[in-house]
Amino acid sequence: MTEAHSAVQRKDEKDVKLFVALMSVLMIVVAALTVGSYSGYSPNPSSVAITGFVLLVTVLITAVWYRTKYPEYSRED
Amino acid sequence: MSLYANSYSIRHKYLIDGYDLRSFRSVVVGLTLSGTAPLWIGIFIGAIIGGLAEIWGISNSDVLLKLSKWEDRLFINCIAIAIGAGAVLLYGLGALGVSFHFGIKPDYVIGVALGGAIFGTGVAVSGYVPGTEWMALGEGRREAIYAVFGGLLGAASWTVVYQSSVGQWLVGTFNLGQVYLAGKAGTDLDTGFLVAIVWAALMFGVAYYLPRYSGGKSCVYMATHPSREMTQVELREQQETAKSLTKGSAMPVGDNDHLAYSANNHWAPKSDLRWLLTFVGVIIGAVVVLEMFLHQIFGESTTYSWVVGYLWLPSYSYSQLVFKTIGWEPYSDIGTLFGAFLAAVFVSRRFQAFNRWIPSTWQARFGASELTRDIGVFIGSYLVLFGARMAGGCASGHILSGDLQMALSSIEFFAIVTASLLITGRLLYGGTKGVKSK
Repeated sequence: MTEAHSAVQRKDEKDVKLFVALMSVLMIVVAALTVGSYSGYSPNPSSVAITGFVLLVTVLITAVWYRTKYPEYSRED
Repeated sequence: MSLYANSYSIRHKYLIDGYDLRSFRSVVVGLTLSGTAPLWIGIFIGAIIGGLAEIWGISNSDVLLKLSKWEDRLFINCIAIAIGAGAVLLYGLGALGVSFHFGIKPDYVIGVALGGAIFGTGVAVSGYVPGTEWMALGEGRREAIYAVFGGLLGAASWTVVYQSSVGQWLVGTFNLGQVYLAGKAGTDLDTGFLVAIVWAALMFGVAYYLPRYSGGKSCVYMATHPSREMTQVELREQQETAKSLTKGSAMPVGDNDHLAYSANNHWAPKSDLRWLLTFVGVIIGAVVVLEMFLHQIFGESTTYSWVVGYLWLPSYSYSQLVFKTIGWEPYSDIGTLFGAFLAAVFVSRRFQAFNRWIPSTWQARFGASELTRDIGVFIGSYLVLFGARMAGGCASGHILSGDLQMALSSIEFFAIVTASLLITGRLLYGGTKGVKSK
C-alpha cells in the first residue's frame, strides 16, 4: 500500500490541537456544571445553549487557524 | 445515577425443570444496575457515535448520495451489523433482568409510511440524515450550515401541521401502538431474545452477502478473507472512495500521518483500520444499548423540534410534547458534532474549515454551482426533518435504535425510506449505469 501525501507541506499543529483539547474539557465542564445532576426529560435550554456555543466557537476558531496556517489549501488528491 | 442491587424485573414464572431461575440469574448477573444518568453524559454517547461515523465517512454527503444510486452500500452493511449485534445484546441482557429505557415508536401506519417516503426523498437530494448534519458541521463542511437551517424549517413545519386535523389524522389513523416483533413494547423479553437471534441472523446475512460495490464483495467478506484480491472494479471504487472522503480537506497529510491514511483508505486490503471499521457497527450497536441502559434511545431529530419550539413556536402542542420528553438528546447531538470534530482533526484529517466543496455525485448531475448545491441541501434537509418528525424518528431514532429494538414502526420506516431513497436517486442521478458510461 503506497501512501499518497499532500503537495502542501505539513506544518506543526501542536498549538491548535492543544487549544481543541482544552476547549473540549471546558465544554464538558460547562455542561456538567450547568445541568448538574438533573436526569429528567426536560433539559435546561440555557445549559444546552452555552454548551453548544462553546463547541461552535471551538470549531470556528479551529477553522480560522487552519485557513490561516494553510492559506487557500483544499485537498484535491 | 443510582444503583440497585439485584433489582430483578419479575415478568415470568421462574421455575423451569425444577430449577429456580432467580438463583441462576443472580449468579449470572450478580448485580443488576438500574438507574438514569445525568443529561450531560449524553455528550459522551453522541461523541462516540459521531467520532466513529466520521472516521467511517458518513458525514460526507456523497456517501448517502452514492447509496441513493445503489452504487456504494457501505451504510446498509454497517447499519445491519449494528442492528443485529445491538438487538441480541439488548434482549439478551433484558432477558437476564437488566432494566432498559425502551423507546419503541408507535406504528401509525400511514403517518410513518408517508414520513418515511418524504424522508427518503430528502436524503437522496441532500445526502444527509439529521445526525450526519451535525457530524458534517463538526467536520467543517460549509453546506452543513444550510442543511441545519433547512432541517429547522422542516421541523417547524411539522410542529405547525401536527395540531391540525391533517396532522392528527396522520398520527391517529391505523395506529397499532408501541409494538415490536415479539409483542407489546418492553414485554416478553425472553421471547424477544429468541426473535432477536433470528433478526440478527438476517441482519448479519445482509451484511455478509450484500456487496459494497456492484460485482464485488461485502465489507464483512473482505475483512474476513484478507487474502482475497480485489477486482479491478473494486480497486477503482476504493480509490475513488478514498479521494471522495478527503477532497476539500483543509488539513494536508504528512509522512507521519499513518492513522489518517488508514482511516481514509480503510477499504484498502492492508489498512490498519479495516477490521475495526468493518465491524464498527458492533460498537455503535453496543453504545446504543448502553445509552438505553443509562437514559434513553439514541435519536437526533427531536432536537430540531426542541430548538424551533423554544425559539419560535413555544405554545404549539407538539412543542409542549417535545419539551417534556426529549431528555438528553440535545446533549447527545452536541456530542455527535463534537465527536466528528475531534475525529476529523485528530484522526482522519478531513476537517474542511468551511472550504468550498461539492459532492461529486451532485456535481456530475447538477454542475459545480455552489448556490445550486446549497439550495438543494436546504430543500433536501427540509424534507428529511419534516418526514422524520412526521414519522416520529429518523435514521437514529427509527433505523438504528428502533430496528435494534425490532419495532414494527421502525421496520416499516426503514423499508419505505429505502424504497423512496432508491427511486428518487434513480430519478435524480440516473443510477449506476449513468455514471459508469461517463
